Amino acid sequence: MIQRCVSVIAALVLLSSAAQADLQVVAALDKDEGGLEDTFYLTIQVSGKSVAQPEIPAVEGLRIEPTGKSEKIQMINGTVTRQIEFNYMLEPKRAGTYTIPAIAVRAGGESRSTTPLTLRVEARTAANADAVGKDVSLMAELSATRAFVGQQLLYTLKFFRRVNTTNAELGEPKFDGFNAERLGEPKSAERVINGQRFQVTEIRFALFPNQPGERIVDSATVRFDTIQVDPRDPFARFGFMSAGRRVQGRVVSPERKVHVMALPEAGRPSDFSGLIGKFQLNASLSPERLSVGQSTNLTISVSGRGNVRQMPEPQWSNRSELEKQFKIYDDKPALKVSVGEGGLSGEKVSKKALVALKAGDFSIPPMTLSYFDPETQRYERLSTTSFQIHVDVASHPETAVVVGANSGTPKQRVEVLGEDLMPLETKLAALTSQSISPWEKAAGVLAVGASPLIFAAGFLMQRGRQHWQRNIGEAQRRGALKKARRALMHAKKATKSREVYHELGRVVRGYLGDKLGVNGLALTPSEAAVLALEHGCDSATGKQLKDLLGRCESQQYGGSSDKAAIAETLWSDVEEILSTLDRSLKGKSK
Amino acid sequence: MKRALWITIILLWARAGFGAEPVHVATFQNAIAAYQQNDFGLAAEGFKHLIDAGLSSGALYYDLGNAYYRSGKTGQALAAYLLAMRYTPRDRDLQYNLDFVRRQTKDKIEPNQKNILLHAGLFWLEWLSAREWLWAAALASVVFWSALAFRLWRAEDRFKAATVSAGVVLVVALCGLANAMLSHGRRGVMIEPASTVYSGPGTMNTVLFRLHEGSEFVLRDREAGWLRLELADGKQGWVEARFTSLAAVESK
Repeated sequence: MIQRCVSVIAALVLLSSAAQADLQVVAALDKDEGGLEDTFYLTIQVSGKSVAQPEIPAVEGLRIEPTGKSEKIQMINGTVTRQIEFNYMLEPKRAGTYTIPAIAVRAGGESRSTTPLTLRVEARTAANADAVGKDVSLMAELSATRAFVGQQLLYTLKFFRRVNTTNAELGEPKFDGFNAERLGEPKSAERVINGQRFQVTEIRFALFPNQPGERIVDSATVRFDTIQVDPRDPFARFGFMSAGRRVQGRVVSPERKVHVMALPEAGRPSDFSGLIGKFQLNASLSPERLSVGQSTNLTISVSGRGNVRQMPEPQWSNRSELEKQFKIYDDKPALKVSVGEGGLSGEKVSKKALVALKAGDFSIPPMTLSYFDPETQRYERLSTTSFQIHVDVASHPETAVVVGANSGTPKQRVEVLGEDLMPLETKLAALTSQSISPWEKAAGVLAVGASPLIFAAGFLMQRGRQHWQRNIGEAQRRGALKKARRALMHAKKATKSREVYHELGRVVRGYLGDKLGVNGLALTPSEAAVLALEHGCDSATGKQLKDLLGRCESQQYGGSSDKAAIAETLWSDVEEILSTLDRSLKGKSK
Repeated sequence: MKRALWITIILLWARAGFGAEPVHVATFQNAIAAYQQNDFGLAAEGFKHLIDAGLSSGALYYDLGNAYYRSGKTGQALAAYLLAMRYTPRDRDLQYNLDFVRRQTKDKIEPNQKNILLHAGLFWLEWLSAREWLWAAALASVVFWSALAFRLWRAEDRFKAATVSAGVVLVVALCGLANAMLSHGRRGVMIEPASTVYSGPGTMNTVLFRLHEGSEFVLRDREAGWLRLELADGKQGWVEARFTSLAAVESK
């Protein structure tokens, strides 16, 4: 068994390698239709172990020029594969339909050819012709001038420019009287018209007229900026933009008229839902043999081009008859819309699960869908094929459970069969009294009632602090003597005699400053004495003060033979003068 | 010393539960046994005896309500549940039994617009018991005044936020406490199978309407054995006090 598996895998690997080694040639055009002014690009992809250049045949009326190639090398399962893309530019010389015949490539003893390609070239379009001779222009094209209500029209805006533009901004038309849908992103390409090279940006819209009558598609507007260069500027020749000037511009497209016709009444099917365009209808059923209780899947696909967003779901003419044999579960349809050259196209896929209810041979009747074809101007009716289905009796009746797409047990309201009280509370905690005890009441009342006292205390403390701050001068005055005596004790610790005199002078001056609310340290002996006299001292005390401070200064800066004795005298004099000053200045300074 | 204090506090806290007097424990257990043996009258007597002894708790009133209901006294049961709500307002079993018994009553009294709006606006007053409101108010008061005092010293935003929050909680708690105190004994239930409501206190007055057992009312006034009551739909009248049971501890 294992050997057989290994053999199969080896064979698959070899086949894969061989396939990789095969020469493959694919050719593709960037677009298969366009105008005479358009340039087309052909790409030929050659891949294999060894590759060679394609042999390009001559095509009458078509100029084919090579523009380069790109190469890619891949290694898969040890096999090296080269892939080269040969690029060509195609320029049609006249309008018409060109056929590019099969292009052959011969390499490594093998020869492969591409499939022939067709290219349809139209004469120069009116919009393109209008652009000739203008630097910037905006053209509008409408795919038809007559249309039915609901028919898809293609509205194309082409923004031509021969000069560099920036900040282009499109103002779309209002599309009054139409349902409009933008088709993809704008596409830009380069085109040569009458020997002039243009950058062209195309924006396309699908329009669906919603009322009959003469309808006008408004003008579209593009605002843009261009850079104008002074030709006398020598730098401009070399492409320097410093000399350029930004100029705002605006172009407006011409209006387009369309005559919208109502849909014909004649031949309108009863199941017509407003679908207009060209459509196909397909259906498949699987399996076609089942047992009672089992399901089969019916897949219906509607595809085509037109107002695809209004695609209805095909219906049976008599569904109720079918539901006697099958339980039908409808799945949600899936719509896929795509944008192509012809505008909007799409596919809507609906799935239905049919669960057999009875045994026997049954026919699934065809489903129908009607639409209006604007090309033939007739209503068309599409129909699926009829399917034959055989339903056997269920082999295990108990397994014939109908389960559909929306599976799930149907819910019902809970039926209340009776009501009763919740049981007793039997824990001994029930004997815990939950009444408010007297002490709880007292504590609670106290907390609520007395807590304003917290605020009151804070308020009083703050007031006291503010008061103290306001009366700091008074506090200094009151504590002046005490502070001076402390300073005196500190001065006694000074070791050098000069420091002692200096400190003694500072003590007395500091005292005066605190007591009288002035900067005492800056006072001279005379000023101190005058100040003391002004504040109520007698003249003897003033003289004594002046004398003391003078002695301190003279001992500090002068010299003395018996400094220790003088200092001792000064100590007692300072203490005395402080006491005297404090007594005499007390009343005055309040 | 500190350890002894903690032990004392814990013992005091647990006194009524694990430290309940043996006679109360025995009465409680006998009442439960009587209930389980379908002697609901005896069970109700036991629970009521414990409540009269001062052991007022939501659980005891709840058990009493159960015993009354099983005895066929729907009105008394409703009154007991309303009293239990004063202690354990968030007890789900209690709320269930209260709703259950209310559904068994006969009179359909639709609240008028005023009462609907009052209930919608003041439903939060029923969130906490009176005891819980008291402690919430005490705590909020301390926090509020402390935060206010702090703001004197430091005018920071966090103190402002704390002050405002605590102030709001304090006002709410005081409202809740006031409601709990003032509504005490103002809610009542009819306990007789059928009672006549008069226009004044006395049987000589005009008969206004009849109420049946389990109808709830709010007490508006009282006079010599008569109560002036008001129903949720706004009807008012006088009824003999002996036909009613007020949801107040004092009435027991």
